[in-house]
Amino acid sequence: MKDRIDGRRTDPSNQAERRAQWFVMRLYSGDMTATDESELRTWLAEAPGHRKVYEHLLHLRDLSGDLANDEQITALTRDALGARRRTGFDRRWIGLAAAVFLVAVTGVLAKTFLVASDEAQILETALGDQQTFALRDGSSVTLNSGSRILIDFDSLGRRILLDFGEIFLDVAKDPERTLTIRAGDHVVAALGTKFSVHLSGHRLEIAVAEGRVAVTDDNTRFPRQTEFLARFEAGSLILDAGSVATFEQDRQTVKEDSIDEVERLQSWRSGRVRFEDQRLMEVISEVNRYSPVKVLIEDSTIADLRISAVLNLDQVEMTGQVELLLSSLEEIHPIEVVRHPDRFVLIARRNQIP
Amino acid sequence: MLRADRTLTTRGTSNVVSFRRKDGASDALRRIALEHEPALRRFVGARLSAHADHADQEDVVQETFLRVARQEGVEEKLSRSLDSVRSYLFSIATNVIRDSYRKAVTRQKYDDVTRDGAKALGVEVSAEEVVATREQLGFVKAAIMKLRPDCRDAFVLNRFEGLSYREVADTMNVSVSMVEKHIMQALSDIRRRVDRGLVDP
Repeated sequence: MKDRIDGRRTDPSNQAERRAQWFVMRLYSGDMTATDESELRTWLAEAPGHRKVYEHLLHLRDLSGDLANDEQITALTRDALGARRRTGFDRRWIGLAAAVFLVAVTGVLAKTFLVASDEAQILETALGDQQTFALRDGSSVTLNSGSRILIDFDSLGRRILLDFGEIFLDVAKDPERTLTIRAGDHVVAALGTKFSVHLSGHRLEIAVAEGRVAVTDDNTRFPRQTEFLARFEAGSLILDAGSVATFEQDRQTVKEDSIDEVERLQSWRSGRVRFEDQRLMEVISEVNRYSPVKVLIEDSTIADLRISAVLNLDQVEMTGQVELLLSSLEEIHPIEVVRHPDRFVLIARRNQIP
Repeated sequence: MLRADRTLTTRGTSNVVSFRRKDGASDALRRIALEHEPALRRFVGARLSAHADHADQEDVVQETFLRVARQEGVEEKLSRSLDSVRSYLFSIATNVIRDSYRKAVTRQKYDDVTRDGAKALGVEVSAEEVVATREQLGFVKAAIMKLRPDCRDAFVLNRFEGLSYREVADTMNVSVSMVEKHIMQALSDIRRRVDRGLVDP
């Protein structure tokens, strides 16, 4: 056919169309971010033609829905489903990809969702497990793998103690009752916001997705008064959306306008953990937060290799996911994985020509 | 008749739909409302036209949850993975938006008021699209049939089987970003073929 499609026409009028395609594709991905949304709005407002091409693509996509009962279309869909190949991990494309990015074949995260009761209570998750709890005030809290919190809500305040692990909070606004999280030596206060708090040993990390939170190291007691926040803010660090703050011993670092990093740090909520150009050591210590089988690095020469990868979180087959990630690392890096029944050990690849 | 109590808390940034049924709270619905409602609201906002206001958006969100509540086997559907449930919610929301547009068209026929009526409902439709719909459907079908096999598989699995990009990727044994590229390519090819069809059928 003369008009073969290669999708790479460089006509500048096609730029708007490419952009529109991208937005429509993102829209139906289910994980459109606030940034995508505001970009879309800005782009639509830029030129009347933008909205036209965007609406047109949406219209055609919608229209195709009327073909759901069409015989030929149904047959096509059945064929596409039937083409399901369970040949395991297809590695071909990895060689092609410039960036090292690993994706697993399986890995459906079965999320359970429970409603916390009135009483003060302890909530915890096992290794590889994640759970979201709806709280009575309309907030919700998601516990990442291997975490424990104590929840204590009453008319005076909403208090959460993060014993260990990582939580993500979507806090409902309640001016009368500040929500506070006590984690190690710090107290974090929030009003109508979304953020995560990760306590690992003495290291505390806070990533703010929406709204703002206040952090103080005055943890003498939980707040009681309604005017608490104002006083609290006076003697504390304010973190706006897009900030990532780390507290470790006496060191304190705050990165602002880092919404990408916030999203990366909170990607576990959508069933995967992303690593971007991180040291192997860091990647493995993160993997161990989810893996029932421990992973060890027994060779300091490989500890600083820069790794980009994705670990899919699958409560049923977590070990399989870890193996998948490790075997992919083996393919691209000078690493060898020694598999023991109770642990995986990473060493530098033998017989390697330097 | 099922009715949702519109106990929407629209103060500030926290938006939680509290969803009750006359016959008692449905845990599964409550759960999806909490978990997906912000994403659904964002989706609906991005789908409605510039003429839509906050109330239109709320109406679509509410109607979507109502329709979900009426579905057969809703518990089973909602117990699937996060991606799948979201994909399912979005397809229902899309239908809600399309239906509101259709109602506007039926009510006002093809007179000049039509577009204003559609606009009032937050759906912007060109005159061409109102009249060409039936003919266009034939072109859309032909265009889908002619898609490159990998683009076609990705498109039909997402559109007709309701699979999330992630599930499509698993089924086709490719990466999610590859699926996203296929979907964009499919949208592009369908648009091109349909528009050419309209000019030169």
